Amino acid sequence: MSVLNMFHKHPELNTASILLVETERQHQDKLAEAILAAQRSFNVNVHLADSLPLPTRNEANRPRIDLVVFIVNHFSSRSLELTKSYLQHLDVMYFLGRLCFLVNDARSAKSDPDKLHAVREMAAKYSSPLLFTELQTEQGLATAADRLLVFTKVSAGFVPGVSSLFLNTLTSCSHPMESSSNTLVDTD
Amino acid sequence: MEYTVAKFLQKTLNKIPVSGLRRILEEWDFLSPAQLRSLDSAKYGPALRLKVLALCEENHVQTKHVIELDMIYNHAYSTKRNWSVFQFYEQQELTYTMKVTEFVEQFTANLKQLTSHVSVVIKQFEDDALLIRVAWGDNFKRPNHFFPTYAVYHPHSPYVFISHLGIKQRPLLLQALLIAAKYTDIKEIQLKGRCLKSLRDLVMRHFKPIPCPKASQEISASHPNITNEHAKHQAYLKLVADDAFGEGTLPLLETAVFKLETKFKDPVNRILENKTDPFRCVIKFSSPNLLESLKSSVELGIVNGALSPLLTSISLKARNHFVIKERMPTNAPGP
Repeated sequence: MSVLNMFHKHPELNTASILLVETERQHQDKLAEAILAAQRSFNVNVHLADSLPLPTRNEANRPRIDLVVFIVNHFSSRSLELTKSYLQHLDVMYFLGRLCFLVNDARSAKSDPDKLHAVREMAAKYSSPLLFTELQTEQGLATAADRLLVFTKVSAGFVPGVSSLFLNTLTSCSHPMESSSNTLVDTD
Repeated sequence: MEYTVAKFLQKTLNKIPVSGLRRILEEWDFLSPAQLRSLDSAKYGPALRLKVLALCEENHVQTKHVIELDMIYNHAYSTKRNWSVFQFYEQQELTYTMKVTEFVEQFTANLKQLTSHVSVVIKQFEDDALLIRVAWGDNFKRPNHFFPTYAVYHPHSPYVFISHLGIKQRPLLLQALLIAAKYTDIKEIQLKGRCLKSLRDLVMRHFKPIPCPKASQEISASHPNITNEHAKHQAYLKLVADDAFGEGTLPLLETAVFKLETKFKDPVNRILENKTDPFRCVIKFSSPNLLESLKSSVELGIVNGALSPLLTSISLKARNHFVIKERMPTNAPGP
């Protein structure tokens, strides 16, 4: 089973690489452009994929991936199931702070709270951050790009004294509450 | 204003959305420009409609004016109705060129001869389409203007698009159409939809997918720092989708219905294996834009491999409704 490995390649000078994985390819193009347009002090390479494992023919040219972002479509359960199956193809080292989940448009009226709950559970299980974004607007794209760049900067080692595992303890997603949030319990 | 006329006018006005109301009133040309300008002050939908009703009453509106308004609305918003397609066969005189006035006269005369209590209005619009409106009545009732039948006929094509035709009135309307258009036979083809333009494109085969072999072009990324890991695979999928459905915008269809009359085959459970009767079931695919969603399901890789030929043949055969019988040794599923 081919696995995406963290430390099998040398890092490049002042360059970081992000991998955006999305099963339905809706937002990854715009997000990639927003990341490259954002203010930063280092070079960024963005790789787009719709599934893991990545094709082996690109193996030689691919740089070391510093951050893996899974964009989960919480409107469909298929997206969530596929994402869980892709996690098997990641090296263990990625789970220590170099992995991030992203959910778009969680405020929409069409969103199902159960599916959102399931995504949160998955993020909490792998103790990775879960970002809620609004990629439909320009401002939302810029904000999401900035947040991802903060993770990338730490994970590529450009911030002295801060490691990705350290940042992960602050940003990882917590388990959602066990009881349903709809019922109000009256306690005296 | 008579009660029936008022009710009819009110119902018709309520159907027209406020955003298109100005344009339709201008096309109707029943209210004077001064009256139309006085409508500018009312911005709120129901208030605007009340004002229009009052102005129409001033101008002494009658049923025939409201019928014209109804026809203009149905021509502009024809996507609100479900249209079925009928095809003419065997033109009687091959060199006959249709004159619109002749068609109108013959059609109205024939229909009135068949049943006397109908109201028939025919109007020609810019894109060479004849909109025929028939309101049906019988010996005890006046023509019912609230549920008319609409038919759209393009004089130089053998197709008619009909909506809201009852079973009892079918033979009457079809016979009148046959005599007026000078054909011998008319049949319903198994195609139904909402968008008239798409139906017309499908039957006239304007968009037929031409399978031309071309090398798969990889979609180049917009920025040199962005690389697509699956570029080759995505280009291949796009090629498969384009081959099956053709490039460019696809016609707008809402449903595809498959009526199965085949035997039930289940190698795992073997429950209904011994029954000799076919297992009848109906499969319905519906979507705001069916062909586009089928094409993108291939492009995004949701479907593994190519789509079943039953689905790709929707655009090739220009049909929505299929009946699939048991496969005989000689012929393919149909008709």
